[in-house]
Amino acid sequence: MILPLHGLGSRQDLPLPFELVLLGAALALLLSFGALVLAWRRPRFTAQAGLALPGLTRMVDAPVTRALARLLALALYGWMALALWFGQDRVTNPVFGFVFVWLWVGLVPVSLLFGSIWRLTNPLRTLARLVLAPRGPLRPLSEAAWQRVGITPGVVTLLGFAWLELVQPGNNTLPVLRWWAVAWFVGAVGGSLIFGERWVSAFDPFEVFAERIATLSPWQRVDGVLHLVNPLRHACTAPVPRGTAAVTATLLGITAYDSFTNTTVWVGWVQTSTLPRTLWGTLGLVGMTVLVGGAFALAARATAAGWTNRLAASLVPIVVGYNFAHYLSLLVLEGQRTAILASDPLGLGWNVFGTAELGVNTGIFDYPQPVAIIQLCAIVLGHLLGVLIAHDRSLVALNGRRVIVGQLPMLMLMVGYTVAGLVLLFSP
Amino acid sequence: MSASASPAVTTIEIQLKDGKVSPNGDRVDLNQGDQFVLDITSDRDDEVHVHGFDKGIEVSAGQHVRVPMTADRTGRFEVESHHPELLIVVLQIR
Repeated sequence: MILPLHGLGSRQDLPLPFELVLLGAALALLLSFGALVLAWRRPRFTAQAGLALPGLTRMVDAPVTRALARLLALALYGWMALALWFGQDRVTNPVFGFVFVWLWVGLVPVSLLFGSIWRLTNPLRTLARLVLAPRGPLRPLSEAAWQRVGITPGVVTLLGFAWLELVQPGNNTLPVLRWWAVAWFVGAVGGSLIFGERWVSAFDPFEVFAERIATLSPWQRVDGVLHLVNPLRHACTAPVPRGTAAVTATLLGITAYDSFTNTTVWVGWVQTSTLPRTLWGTLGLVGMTVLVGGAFALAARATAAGWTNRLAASLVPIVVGYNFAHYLSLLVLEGQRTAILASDPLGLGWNVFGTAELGVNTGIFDYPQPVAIIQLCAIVLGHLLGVLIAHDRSLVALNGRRVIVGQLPMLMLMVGYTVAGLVLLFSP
Repeated sequence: MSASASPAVTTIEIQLKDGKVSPNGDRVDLNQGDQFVLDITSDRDDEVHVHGFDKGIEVSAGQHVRVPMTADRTGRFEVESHHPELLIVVLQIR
């Protein structure tokens, strides 16, 4: 991975040992066919249901809570904006870790644990509201138009961010990051000024990503009231905006490309070729996404026509499991480092949060075996949950016709994804 | 600087030639505590950087240098050149 924090002398995870790759593949196959044959015969997750939590709802919906949460988020982004615009162009600037680790990687556990908190606190939305307050949007879209837009712009912006993270040369320098930050900000707030606040949920790659992951959280709003729900039920009954399948496939494709860049095959191709690296990177990123998305579209189409977006829910646990396995050490190490550097955003020797003198606890590297097992468990568990969601959704899609055989395309797709993911983590 | 008398010394031969590197991103498996030597020959001015050990080895055009090191920490460590930025080997220390 072209990690922007390269210069800090980063140490990386050992690849997954081959025995664990085989074990994972075997488990994936076993669980998949086990589920096919033994799991429920009638769809279980067709309606939203769960434990109603009116007290929590009142607390979360209270204007004070919302204002406070938004203010905190805005302050955090503002603090890092200081580092971006006025800090030193060195690898010790916390903004790099903030963007590439806290935001991009952190949003997965945050959304899984706390649901749609990203949408609630997104500073882009807060700022869009401020900008829209005087006169409202210039060209507001109708409900029908918003339905057509869905989250499709998110595919482009997610790929854009991935390109910044994985291909853009100089992404560990402030000038480059500043340009991208401006584009992101203007795109989101400018677009909101024209079309309305809802543009943020279509455009902001972090929010689009977070909302997909949040469909696997145990918190779901049913008729306006927060409920504690079975995550599988949540994933099966969450709204499916237009572009869901494309976005989910993009998320998987991005992580797959990231892993692929660590393989000897890729490094060999890129380094011995006369073609510029940026071209290789762009083709690789887009190519991997098209490969992942194309395979999914075929499997979904083979299951039932018109179900591509609704079946995409089954990919979310696989995205989560794979992201967790791939980024765990990064989050633990560079996450800590960013917290340490955050005390001194301008590189002037400050220690605002008292963390500047701390060292990163690299204890996680002392336990490569347990880490490898945790990574394996994350992938296998993600696979299992994906299979269960695909099973339930397929039962609805197939509607009693060819119930066993009809599920095979999705099943084979997911086994394929999981095995490919394991092989990539083995990093040949 | 001479290589240690221990029997398990791995020599990693690195060539920086014609703007490319050899090896070209290969994996090198080591056990924690092993000694190894980076045997670098270069036809250009460059720096070989060993990540995780924070070690930068400057080489000038036409120079041949041997750098002994000890694999005292576990993990995956990239060894790369800087002019141009190319991945030479990946040390996998268990």
